[in-house]
Amino acid sequence: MNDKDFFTRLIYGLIEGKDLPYLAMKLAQSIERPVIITDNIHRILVFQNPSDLSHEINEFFPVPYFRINEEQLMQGDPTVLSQGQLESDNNSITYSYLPLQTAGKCLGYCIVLDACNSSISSDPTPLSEKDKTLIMQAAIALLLVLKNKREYSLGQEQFRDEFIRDVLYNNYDSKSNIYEKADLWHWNLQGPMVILVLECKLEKIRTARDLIPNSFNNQPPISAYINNQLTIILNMKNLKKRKQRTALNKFLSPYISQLEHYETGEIEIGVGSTVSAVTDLHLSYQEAKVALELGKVFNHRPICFFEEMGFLKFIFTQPAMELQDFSQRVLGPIIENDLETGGNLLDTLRSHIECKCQIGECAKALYVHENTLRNRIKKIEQLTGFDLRRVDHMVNVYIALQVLHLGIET
Amino acid sequence: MKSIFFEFNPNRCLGCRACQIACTVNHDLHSGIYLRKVTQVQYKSKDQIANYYLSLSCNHCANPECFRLCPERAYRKRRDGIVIQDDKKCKGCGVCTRACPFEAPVVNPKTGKTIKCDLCFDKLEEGDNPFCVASCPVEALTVYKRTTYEENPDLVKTLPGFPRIQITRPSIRYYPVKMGVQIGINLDYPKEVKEDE
Amino acid sequence: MKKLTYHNVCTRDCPASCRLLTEVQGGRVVDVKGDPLDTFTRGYICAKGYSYPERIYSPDRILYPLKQRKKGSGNWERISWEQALDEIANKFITISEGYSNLLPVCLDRYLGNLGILNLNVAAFFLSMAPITLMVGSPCVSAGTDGMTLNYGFCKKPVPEDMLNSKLIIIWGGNSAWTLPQQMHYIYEARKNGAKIVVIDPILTATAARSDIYVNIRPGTDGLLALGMAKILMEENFLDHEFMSGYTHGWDKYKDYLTTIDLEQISTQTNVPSAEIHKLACLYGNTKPATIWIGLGLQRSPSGGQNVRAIDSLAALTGNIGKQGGNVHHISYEVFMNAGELARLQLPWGLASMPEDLKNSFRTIATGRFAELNNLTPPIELLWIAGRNPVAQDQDSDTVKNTLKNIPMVVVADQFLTSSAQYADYFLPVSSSFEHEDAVISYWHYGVGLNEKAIEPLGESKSDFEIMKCLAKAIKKIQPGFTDFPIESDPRQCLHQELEPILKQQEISSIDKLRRQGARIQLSAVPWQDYSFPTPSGKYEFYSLKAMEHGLEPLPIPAQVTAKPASYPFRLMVVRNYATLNSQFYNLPNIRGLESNSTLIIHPETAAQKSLEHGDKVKVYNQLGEIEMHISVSLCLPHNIVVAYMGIPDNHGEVINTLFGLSETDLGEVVSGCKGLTFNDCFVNLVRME
Ligand code: SF4
Ligand code: SF4
Ligand code: SF4
Ligand code: SF4
Repeated sequence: MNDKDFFTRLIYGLIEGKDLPYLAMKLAQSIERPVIITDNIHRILVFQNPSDLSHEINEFFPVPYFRINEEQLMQGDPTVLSQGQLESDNNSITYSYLPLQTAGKCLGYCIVLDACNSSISSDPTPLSEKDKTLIMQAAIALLLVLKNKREYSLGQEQFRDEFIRDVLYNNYDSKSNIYEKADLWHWNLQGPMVILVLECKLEKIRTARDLIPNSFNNQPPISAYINNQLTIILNMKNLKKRKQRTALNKFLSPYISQLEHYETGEIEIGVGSTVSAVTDLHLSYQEAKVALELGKVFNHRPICFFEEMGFLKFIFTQPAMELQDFSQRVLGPIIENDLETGGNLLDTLRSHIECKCQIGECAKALYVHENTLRNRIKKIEQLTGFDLRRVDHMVNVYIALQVLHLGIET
Repeated sequence: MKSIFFEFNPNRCLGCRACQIACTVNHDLHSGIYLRKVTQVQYKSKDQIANYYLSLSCNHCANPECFRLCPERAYRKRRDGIVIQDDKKCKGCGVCTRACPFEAPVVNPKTGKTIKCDLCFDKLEEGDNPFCVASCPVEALTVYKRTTYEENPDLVKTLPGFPRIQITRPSIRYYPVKMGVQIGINLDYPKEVKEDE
Repeated sequence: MKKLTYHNVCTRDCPASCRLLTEVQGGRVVDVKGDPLDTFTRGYICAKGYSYPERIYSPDRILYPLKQRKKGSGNWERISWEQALDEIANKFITISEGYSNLLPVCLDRYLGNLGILNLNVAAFFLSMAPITLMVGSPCVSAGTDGMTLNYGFCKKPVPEDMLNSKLIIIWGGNSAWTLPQQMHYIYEARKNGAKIVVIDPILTATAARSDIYVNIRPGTDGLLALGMAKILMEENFLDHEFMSGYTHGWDKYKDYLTTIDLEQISTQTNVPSAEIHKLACLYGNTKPATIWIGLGLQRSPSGGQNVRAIDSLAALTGNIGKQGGNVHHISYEVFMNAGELARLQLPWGLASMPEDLKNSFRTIATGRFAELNNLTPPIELLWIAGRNPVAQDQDSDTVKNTLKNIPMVVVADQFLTSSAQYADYFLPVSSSFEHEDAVISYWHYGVGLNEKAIEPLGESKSDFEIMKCLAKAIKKIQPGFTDFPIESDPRQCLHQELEPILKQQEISSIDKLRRQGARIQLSAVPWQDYSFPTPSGKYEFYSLKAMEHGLEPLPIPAQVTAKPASYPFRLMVVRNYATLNSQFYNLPNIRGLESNSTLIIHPETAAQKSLEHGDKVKVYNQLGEIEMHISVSLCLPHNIVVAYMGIPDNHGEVINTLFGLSETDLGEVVSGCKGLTFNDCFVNLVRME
């Protein structure tokens, strides 16, 4: 088969409506090796001819990042191909790969594993020059497909995001209206659902969205980007109440480690309560957002469940001015004293609470002598008139501090 | 889709309350209840006295508590970000008036139902400014349209005196307060009232 | 139902005189807004303007003539117009027969309504045998006298001239609240690089928006100006050309300035001397610089001299007659251009009355009710229109007692004001939306025609109508008693009044004024010709006329009054953004802005008196006591307490109960009597349970 023919065939296939799997399959067949196509976050989109691979390969296939010269890619220069190695417990596997990059953006990777169908041979020969030419030709076709897909999905995403936004902000009149539209995208919005809202570095929110695991409770999560936050709808169908939390944690912990891996910055996730109908989704959504903000205040990071916030959530829906007045009344004397004397009783109080009121621990944290600390606490008690050993007094001080914190943070 | 926001410049606001009254009369509220309120903020700041006004109505929050807690589902948030309340669904229970940390929704004694600033969206749709904005003689209060991505870096989310509870994520943006020079202000006033000789 | 739009003008005693667009539906005013074609206001009106529909249809409005059984009893009875007018007409006749003159008849009218036709009230009372007139101005007379002594006449630049200034000193005025539209021009000037300075005892809304705020002890403005003048002289910021050619008395003024001690001025004014120095240099260095003298500072015991001293700064630096320079205060020029009625606009009217006519009247200075109470022949009938002396004049108790003593008091108004409570007859006046009229602004000289948008409510009538009806009733009894034209038509009357203006502007009919308005063409920048109508023909630092009125010929302020020992707090009344004197307090939407009757005090005062925001206090002095709620503010000095002008206390008592009769140094030159002071009153307060 002539090189030209291969490329023409791929393009012709595309014209006939074939997709990524076809391209990957053709490539795998031609070079007689398994081929993996991943997206920009290394999620596997296609895996052709994986047979007999001794490695277990799951959702992702990470490869080392590097940038290529796009000019070389266009000219089919095979030197842009890189080598990599996948280590696992008992053996390793080498591979060649190529970032599918255009206009400086990496849209995915084309990976060719150095493993053969065991039926042929167990020791792969290195890629021939011809194989490399084929890979380079396939890369162009793959790039074309990925680019189209991306554009299409961005466009689609906007529609979907707006639809979800409307559902979550109560901009629909009837359930049937919602279902009708959801059907368009094969979404199942029936049954109990829960909403997660996620915040991370703004410029990484796209990545965070791409990284959402493929499935939860055997259904694809639905996501939307609203108000600089990522919103995820999870279907809880058939999940018993007590299983829900476990399922959520199981879903979230690998997700969070993925996010950390991609350096998405400090992550905060708020989780609403489970609602039974789509028309109540807005409730779960608002709760998730409130939970997220409360999580920041009370340092429930990275996940804060609305239902766990107990009575604190009631406090924070009080008129804001009253809250501030309250905080001012409780802490005002300390703040004033600090201003006048240049002291830092407020920080002392904060540390004291952070150290669970343990004098020893707190003294260490503040680098002061225990007696100094005791004196300061006495001073605080004098100024505020609260007895910090009494729970009812402590509650006031604690809340006042949080309110103050809330103000400073923003 | 662009969202609509209030922008407020405390360095221009005169505290003249034209906005507050223009709003209230145009909503036929003639009994001293307001959808917009102008409040004075003052505090000592170094050796000066900060003194300015805030003109506040509903903040069309990203996380509207009114919306979360209304048992009648009377609230919704439009695509342009405006939080509106449906008079027909409202039963006048007043839950939202207590839920909103900014006390934006009020019960209209005339109808027994809650009423809240709707950013005069009908006027906006006709290309006009809301009553309050249109009445401000010095452009201290303005409305802006932008996407949530395009935050104006010169503006801030809160100012001293604005209830700073961010749980609801108010959409209003402020110009930071600028202070002039103040001469002859004595902040170490005597503890005893002295004779004004 | 179709909405009709009418053109109106706000008739409050306010510099803006906004042109309004009134929407009427089914004969009812549904909306009032600013007219965007109004050049000065650009369509921006104030909170009061927006409240008009509420005011027109206020349930408090009285729509029928009333008669009170016993003054102050509140025992009112509705009567017919016929009965009211007949009884009043008969009183005129009885007085005239009993005394063979009309001196027992007294008129007290002022600017509760700026409509020109309202001056027909004065015209009516001038159409009979001489009566007793209350003359003068409770508002601006000391300042206008000061200006007149220095310049020879009261002129000012057009408001937009501030756009040309590089320095704007707002001295004793709170534009943000009293003329918010002007702040637009001030902010624009700032955009062009101008600095804004505010000199005020209180950190007002305007002061808080300025570049430099100078906190000054109340009433010592003249001293500060003298200090600045000394520095301008010493640092040689003087415009010698202007001074040598067009001023009078500089040598004497100079000698005086050398004698004054800056340190002493600093102590007296409360402004550090280094800052006085900086301020003077800023003014001397920046050209053009303008000063806006607010009305507040001239309501003090040396208000007139204070204005003269401030004026002198403009003369020293040659800012007079320059674009973007000059002093903004008040213009009387504008009334020279209207017809006869407008010239009656007090106080200017009296001074211009022919001498013989003036002498045949008995005149009582405005607000001097104690005097009114003690006349021979005594006052038998007092007519009050466009005025609320109990709330506006000093010593409200004396005003009340005088009203109680006068056998017949007639109040024509829209509401049962605190003065009306001491009336025998209440005559319901229609709002200016209910009759045609015109207003000329004394700030921007705009002339606006006020259409009749709706029929008069109930049986209310315009003041002009009332006067015509009264004239008719009197003539029925005694045909020659008055020559007031009972057939005169408001239209025609307006035409006569506005004719000079129409001619000047080549406007064919007054109907044209309705949509487009007009502005009396006065020179945008006064005194460009440097010709000053003073005795010397020059700007006078040294005024012999001042000496005739018992003052220093140089602008030297009188000593500041000492505080009575037992009343430690100076009470100042300031204007509120949503009320005008005693007007508008009764509307729920306005009341809702400050839910209580408030006295503003400093936190230190609150601490000293164990008071918290919202507490009730008794405010008292030798004259009386009133009950208010306090509000705590950092914006005033600790020894000053502040209340809004005309504010009623918790029981409807007025704040002026606490003001003793106290006069300004000037006022007689232009308006025939001295003005009244409103910032040298002292009180104490005590917490109420
Ligand atoms: S300000 Fe109050 S009423 Fe307005 S959206 Fe926010 S929570 Fe709701
Ligand atoms: S936008 Fe409309 S409803 Fe909202 S405060 Fe302004 S005038 Fe009132
Ligand atoms: S109208 Fe404008 S200047 Fe006046 S209070 Fe409102 S925002 Fe401030
Ligand atoms: S009171 Fe003054 S500012 Fe207000 S509407 Fe009338 S003229 Fe205009």
